[in-house]
Amino acid sequence: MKTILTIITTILLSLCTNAQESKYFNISNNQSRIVCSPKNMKEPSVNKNKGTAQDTEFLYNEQFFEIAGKIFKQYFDVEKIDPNQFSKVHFLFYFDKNLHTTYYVFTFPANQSDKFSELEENLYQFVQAVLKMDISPFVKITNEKTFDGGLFQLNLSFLAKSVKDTQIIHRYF
Amino acid sequence: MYKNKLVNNLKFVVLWRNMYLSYFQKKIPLLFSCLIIGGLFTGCSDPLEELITENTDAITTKAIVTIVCSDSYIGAEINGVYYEAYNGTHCWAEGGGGGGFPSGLNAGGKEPYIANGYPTSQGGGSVGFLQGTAWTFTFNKLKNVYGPYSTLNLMGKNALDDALAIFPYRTSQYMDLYDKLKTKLDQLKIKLSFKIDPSIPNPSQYLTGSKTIRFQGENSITFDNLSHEFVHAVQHLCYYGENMSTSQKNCEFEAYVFCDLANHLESPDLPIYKGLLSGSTPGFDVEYILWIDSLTTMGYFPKNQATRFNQLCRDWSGPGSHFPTFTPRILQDLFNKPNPPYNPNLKIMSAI
Repeated sequence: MKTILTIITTILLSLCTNAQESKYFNISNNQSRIVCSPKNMKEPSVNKNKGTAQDTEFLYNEQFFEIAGKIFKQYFDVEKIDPNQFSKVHFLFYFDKNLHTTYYVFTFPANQSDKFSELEENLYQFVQAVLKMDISPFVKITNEKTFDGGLFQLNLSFLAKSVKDTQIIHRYF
Repeated sequence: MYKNKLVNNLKFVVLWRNMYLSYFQKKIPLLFSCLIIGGLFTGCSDPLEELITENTDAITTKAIVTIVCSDSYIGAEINGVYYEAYNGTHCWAEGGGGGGFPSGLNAGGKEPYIANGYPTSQGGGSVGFLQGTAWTFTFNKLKNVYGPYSTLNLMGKNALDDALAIFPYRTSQYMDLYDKLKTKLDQLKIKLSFKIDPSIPNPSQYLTGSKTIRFQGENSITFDNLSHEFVHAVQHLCYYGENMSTSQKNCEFEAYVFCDLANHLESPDLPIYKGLLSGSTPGFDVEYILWIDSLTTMGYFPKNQATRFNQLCRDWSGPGSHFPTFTPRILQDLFNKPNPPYNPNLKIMSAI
């Protein structure tokens, strides 16, 4: 019995010591990705009874990504970075019915936890700038009755590549 | 016929009479000047000839329409810094139409300018403004799918042609999907109808009854929207038939998963996951990303993933009724073996 308890304690301790910690984000570890969310923001709730689906449409994706790329450039050293180091760093930003961005969550590859520690301050500043962005020119509400908010996505590797090569945006939008 | 000819002859006589009178009323001083000055110098042009030339020019010269253009920008202000991105050039004929921009856009404070010639394209490369004699447009890619009840205009046909042309250049599953659809349409000896309907709630829609793909506008005719609707057409015509109505949510979810999986097999760092709709929770969204991530790492859709598919579909915010034991047969069939890593150099161009 003692042995089993010791083994369990050891496993729990080792899990705790390996868990990623952050000054800026709440972290939850998955096998493949570190999942980060804000420390002091409320997760948006969903009124499932409304049966909401695609009640917003993101317009001008091309221009939106171009602008997001410019914000990205402000917080990351574009000359030095390799876009592939941001592979699978994917952001989801949630906005409310007033089109205010109120919450975010993003993923980071779990096998690059040291890279995460190195970049987390830049990531935090980047997030703060995106949260302040007025998204209203880009969003079309397709169903006013059911609209209760929505989300937009930013992939950091894609942004980094698009800053270096603007043609990449045109390939996908 | 005869009466008309007579009237025309009369009109001709009246015209020349008027021109003659006009000539003498207005040009007499000039005629006298010419006679006087002509005595001194040689080379004074014949005023009658001048007048005829003037009238002939007025009749035969094509009306010149000035095309005015203005560049538009879309932008956002963050921390006092204004970021903007070019959003295309809008052109219109002077005196008609107008260069109205959708709300949220501005012309960047720049003055409109006269375009150097007519704008020749609005995005497709082959569509131009009609000038002079009628132009002939051929849309080769349409012939396999475009049915006689379709009502797309020139711009719409051009956009559809462009969207169809992309299939061979993307992940192989897209081409397999297209081939499946084409084979079935040939078997049934039917084609799909393509229409524009601004009243639909989504950018595009597939109607099983009339086998019609409707788009919200010409701008909605994109590869992304078309491939999504092709998944629905294949679901309907090749797999589930009328059972689609009892598992509408599953079918919708399968279409999103198909496109996300195909896209992420091509590149792991695409800007968006299409299956993430507004109305889902962050918890679901992260689960969905991780699931697509694991499938792309495996490179195919194993049969045992049907359970996970149905779990996620249940929690997904998409529309329609959910059937808990649905088998996603398109995913199982078209992603049935590991996909080799994407290599654009190995892509072979094949004509659709």
